[in-house]
Amino acid sequence: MSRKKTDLLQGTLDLMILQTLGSMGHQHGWGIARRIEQVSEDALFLNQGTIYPALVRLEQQGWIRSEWGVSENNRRAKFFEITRSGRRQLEKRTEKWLTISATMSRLLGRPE
Amino acid sequence: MHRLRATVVRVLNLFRRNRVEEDLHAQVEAHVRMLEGEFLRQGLSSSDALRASKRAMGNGALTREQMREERFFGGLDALARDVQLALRRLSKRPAITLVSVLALASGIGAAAATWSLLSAVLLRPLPVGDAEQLFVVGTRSVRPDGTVHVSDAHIYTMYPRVRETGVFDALAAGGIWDVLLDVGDRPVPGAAYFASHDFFDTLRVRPAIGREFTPDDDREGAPPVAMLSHSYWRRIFGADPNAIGREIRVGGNPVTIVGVAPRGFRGLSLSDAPDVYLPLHTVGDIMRGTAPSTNFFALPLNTEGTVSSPTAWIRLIGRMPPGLTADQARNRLDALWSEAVENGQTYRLTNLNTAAIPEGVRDGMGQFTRLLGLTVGLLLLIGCLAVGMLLLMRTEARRDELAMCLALGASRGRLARSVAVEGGLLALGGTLLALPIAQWFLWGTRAFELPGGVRVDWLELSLGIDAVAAAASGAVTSTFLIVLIAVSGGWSVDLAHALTSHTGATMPRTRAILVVGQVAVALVLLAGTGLFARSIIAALSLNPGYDTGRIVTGSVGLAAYGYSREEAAVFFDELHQRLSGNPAFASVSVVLPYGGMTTSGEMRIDGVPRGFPSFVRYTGIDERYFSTIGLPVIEGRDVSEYDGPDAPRVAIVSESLGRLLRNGNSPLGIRITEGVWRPPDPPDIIEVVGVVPDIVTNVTLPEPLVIYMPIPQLEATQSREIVLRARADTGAAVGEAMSAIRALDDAVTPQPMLTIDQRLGDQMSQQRFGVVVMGGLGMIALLLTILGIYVMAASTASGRRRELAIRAALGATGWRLGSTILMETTQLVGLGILLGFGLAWLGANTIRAFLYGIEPFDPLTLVGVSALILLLAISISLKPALAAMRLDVARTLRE
Repeated sequence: MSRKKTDLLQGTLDLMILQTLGSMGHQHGWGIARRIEQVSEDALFLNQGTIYPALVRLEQQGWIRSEWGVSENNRRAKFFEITRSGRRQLEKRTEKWLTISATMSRLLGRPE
Repeated sequence: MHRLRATVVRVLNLFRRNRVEEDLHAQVEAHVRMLEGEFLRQGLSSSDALRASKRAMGNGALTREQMREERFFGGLDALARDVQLALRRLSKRPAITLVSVLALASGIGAAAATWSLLSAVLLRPLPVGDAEQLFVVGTRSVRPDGTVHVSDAHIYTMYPRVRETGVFDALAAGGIWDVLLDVGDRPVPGAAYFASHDFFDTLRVRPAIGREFTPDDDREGAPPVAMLSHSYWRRIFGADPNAIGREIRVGGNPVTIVGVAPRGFRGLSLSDAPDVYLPLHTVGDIMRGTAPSTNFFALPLNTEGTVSSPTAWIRLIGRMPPGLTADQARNRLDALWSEAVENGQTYRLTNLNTAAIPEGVRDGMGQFTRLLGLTVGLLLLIGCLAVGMLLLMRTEARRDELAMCLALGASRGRLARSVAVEGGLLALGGTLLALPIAQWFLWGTRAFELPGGVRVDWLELSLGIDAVAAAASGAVTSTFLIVLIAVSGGWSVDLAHALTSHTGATMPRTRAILVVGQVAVALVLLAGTGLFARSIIAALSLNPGYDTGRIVTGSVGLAAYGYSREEAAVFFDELHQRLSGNPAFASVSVVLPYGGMTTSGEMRIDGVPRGFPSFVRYTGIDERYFSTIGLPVIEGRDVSEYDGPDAPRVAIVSESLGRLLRNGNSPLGIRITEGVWRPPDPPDIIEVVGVVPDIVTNVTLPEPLVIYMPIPQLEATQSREIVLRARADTGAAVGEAMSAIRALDDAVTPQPMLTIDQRLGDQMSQQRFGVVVMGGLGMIALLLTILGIYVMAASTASGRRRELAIRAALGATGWRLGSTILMETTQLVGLGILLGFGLAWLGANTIRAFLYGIEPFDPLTLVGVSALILLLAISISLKPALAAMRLDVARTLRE
């Protein structure tokens, strides 16, 4: 098994999901997983199954909500969308993430 | 806020579990289908597409598990399932589960009970307020010859002197007397504590009901009042609050009950248990004739005696102001008592809690409790070892299952948890069962006596919160130990190895260590039992050749019943006649106990003063005494009817005393000067006319020094000892004797009548305690050990059967194969025995003080116990060894 791809940092998956739902709106689990893979250009190693526990977690915290619907190729799937408090959370986390990543870049001597 | 919301959702989810599960499943399923569709569009075959999509999803079981943990309370939910599974696994092998739980329970139970006992004796012996400020005021004097004499007795005019120094905030006084108590029925012997009016105040002890004494109660001639002890109140009045104001009779005097002492308070000494408390200054009114009737505080300075002072029974208890140390207080007291300091006499302050343990046994008590603690610790260890063993076996048996779980994606932490849950359940069962066991332990030890005559039932032990806490912490500790053993023992399964190999035993080393440990602990406990048992046997064989099992003795004291000396003499004459005519007795004698001389005293032998290495007992006898006991006069003559009050005074000595008197030559004709005489008359000279063999009645005096003298030549008191030789049944003889005494005077209650063997046995109370406790624990340990050895041998036989089969195929005989198993058992047991010898050697000093006539590292006992363990171990291993001998080689090799 090639493990060259980067493992996900703890907590980043939540942020990715929130961002994906924030930018794409209504989406099912598979769509979210595919979108993250596309954006990461295969740089990330992601077991697609792992997004489901994250989705459960986010929903329980009230940052996303879900309903069962029918997908584009006519399959039953659960669709998720971001809530208002989820958007606030997204902004907060994005800001925090940018600060950390800028700090890390400066520290490692590779300005953006 | 988000947390709260999540928690609420999780709680709700618990109630719609199935729907949530289905929802989870459907989502994952939908995802896989979509992935599959995508792969199909990319041109993969349908089977490849399915495989690829499953690969892309990752570990499905793990994902679902994680989702579940998010949905519900992950840990709690999994725990519930682990508990369910563990219960199912444990109930599959009920016998082994039960044994482990019992082993653990007896360990924890004994620990909890011991904790109650130790804390009652050592940690908080007296339920008084701020005990650290309370001190018994005594004296310490250095004699001209350099010997040190300490005493807590009240002497001279100590009370007013100490009170005047102002060193103590409060100073109380009190002491105990044996009395007869009745509430209008038969008088029963009891104990009365005479306490100064400020006694309870000084101790900061408040009555449970009623009131304490006032200064007005505490004076000569005051209307007599009493406080009852809580246990007497419960026993006699059924804890009736209306007992206040009622009357009891103390020594025949009516006394009004004014209060009840609080539960658990029983005077200041662990070896006493007063039934009633009376004001100190009423002692003369109550004890008429028995105790000094004067006001002891006003006694003239008595320069003669120390302990012979008529107030020597009184103890002074002072409460020091906070912040003052005992040393500072003593220095201040001494500074104000300079004339005594010059004579080598100083004050001695003993903390009340220390003073509660009888002086002579303070060290012994520590040793005893250490020994008990050690024993219980060993038992707890055995319990933990047994449970550890069980868990190891289980984990081992589940090796394939665990490997399969890992292969299917279970996390290792999850597996560790399942093992821990099993251990936790065993520990929980052990703790629950420990409580009744602890109660039983407390109940069972009630009848025993601790060193110094501290009776366990007087301690009114109960399982307090602290004891239960101790049990619980014992359980937690043992669970921790168990999980540690199980996890380090290698539950961490080597996946590939486990799934491919067929052999069973993966962790023989850990198990071997457990077996060795068990053997060692069992050896130590059983050897201790053996040593105690042999001590008792040694004590009972102190009188070889004499029928001490059939000789019954019992004291009868008539002074308390108001008899004069003459009346008492008449009573005993009549009693003797009645008993002599009774066919239950082969022989009857009446003895006058006459005190004796301690090691600090001196006696003039042929005019030369000399001391003796142990107590010299004086006994007044009649001419039937030696024939009743069965002692032949080995030199000289017996006493006879001619040794009357006016005849020359004579004595017969015990063999040991005779030896000391004239260094091995015949002591006949030696003249002893009477120690007690009234100065105007010349002292009497007593001539030794006979020698009799030793008869041991006190185990601490195996070489008794006794001077027997004819009763008519002594000043008789109102007390006698009845000595009877039973014709057949001693029980019936005791009954006959009791009814003969009752027939003469219904009120008189003699001391218990016991055979000499029973009296010797009673003196071995600690050793009997040792035999019962250590023996019980030792048997549990032995059982568990044998069980462990069997499991070990059986799993070796099955685990190594491929190896054994190959050896058989190469020509090894069945006998060879069987002996492999036996050899392994022998090696392990041998190692355990060696370790046990080491432990026994380390513990030898702890047990030494409790052994009698035997050394702690007794080879015979150790070898005997070792042989027993080895024999049992080998016989239990025979079955697995036979299985190895009858191995079906062809079938085993094909497996």
